[in-house]
Amino acid sequence: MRVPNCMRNWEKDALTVIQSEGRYSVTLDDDAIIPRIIQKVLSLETRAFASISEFKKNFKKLNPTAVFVDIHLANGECGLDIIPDIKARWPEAPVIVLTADSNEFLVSQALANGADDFILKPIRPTELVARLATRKNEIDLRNSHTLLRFGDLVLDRRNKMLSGSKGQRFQSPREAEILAYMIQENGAVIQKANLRQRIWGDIVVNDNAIDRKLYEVRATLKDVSDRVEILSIYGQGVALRQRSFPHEPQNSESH
Amino acid sequence: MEPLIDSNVIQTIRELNAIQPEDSFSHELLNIFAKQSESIVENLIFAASVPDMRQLRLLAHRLKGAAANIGAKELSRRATAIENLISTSDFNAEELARAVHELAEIRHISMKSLRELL
Repeated sequence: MRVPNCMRNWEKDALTVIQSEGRYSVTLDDDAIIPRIIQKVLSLETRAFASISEFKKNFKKLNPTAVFVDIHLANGECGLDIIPDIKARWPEAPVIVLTADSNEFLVSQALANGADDFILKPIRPTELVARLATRKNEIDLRNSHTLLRFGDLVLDRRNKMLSGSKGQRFQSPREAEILAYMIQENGAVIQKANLRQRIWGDIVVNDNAIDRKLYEVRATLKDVSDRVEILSIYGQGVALRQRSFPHEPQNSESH
Repeated sequence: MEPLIDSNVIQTIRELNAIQPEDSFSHELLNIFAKQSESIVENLIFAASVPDMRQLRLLAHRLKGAAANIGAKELSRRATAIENLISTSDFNAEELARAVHELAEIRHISMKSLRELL
């Protein structure tokens, strides 16, 4: 791997980890030099956007490993305004604010909006790598408790966002809880009584209400994934399973 | 006058260029900046003639950041000065026009230096 000579071993190692994800970074900056510098420093593809509207149009197609946001954009747009949306959509990606403005108020505003860090321009490669790697480690540690995975699904418990290979959908708190429980059981069959107890506790709910909720969770699942489904196993309960396809090894029970 | 060029930034760009010299990374950055800054300065001159304060502030800020990223330190400083001048509202049109005109000259001199260094 080619890296700038100014980088120390720790930074080179950190860069290797970032690159190993095989994704790309995204920049929101009206200065075309910035994405080129970031791309060169990180040796990672960078997708550049100059305005919030252009960025938002492409939201659904993107899944970056990191996002770099300039505060003052062309036409008076403020990059800080989009940060909550970025954090909700890509909770695993560090959001680093870049600006030439050293105003203290802006620093606190950026952090209050959810930015993970703040870099003053001009960009120093070692600082960029160090801050990105450090924030990534912090996020990974934090998300190990709030992000659950099953097949191609990623459930962000904090933001109630379910992501899969087909897209993303927000869920109601109850739906998110049901899915979290099923993911944590990792494909094991869950009896309805246990589901009732775990999700509703002392609240009295009948079977129809539970079935209705499962129906809603199934609908959300269908929107985001073709690979994961909820199976109802007669006389036993429900289970989250990965679908098997004709060319793949069998790994799920049938209805 | 402060140094025209930030040698630390130039050093950084040279190191990034050295990763893969065949990519001509430093020339690419220079060309991007040349186009950007030319357009910004043209628009600044027009905005100063109106005068359009909002545009002046936005453009000055853009140039401040762009110049800093390529190491054009004095140019960045002059853009900051215009940004600060506008925010005080305590200036006259002549002062503003002079500041913008000087900015254009500094840009021209900075481009020459940057081409020699990168």
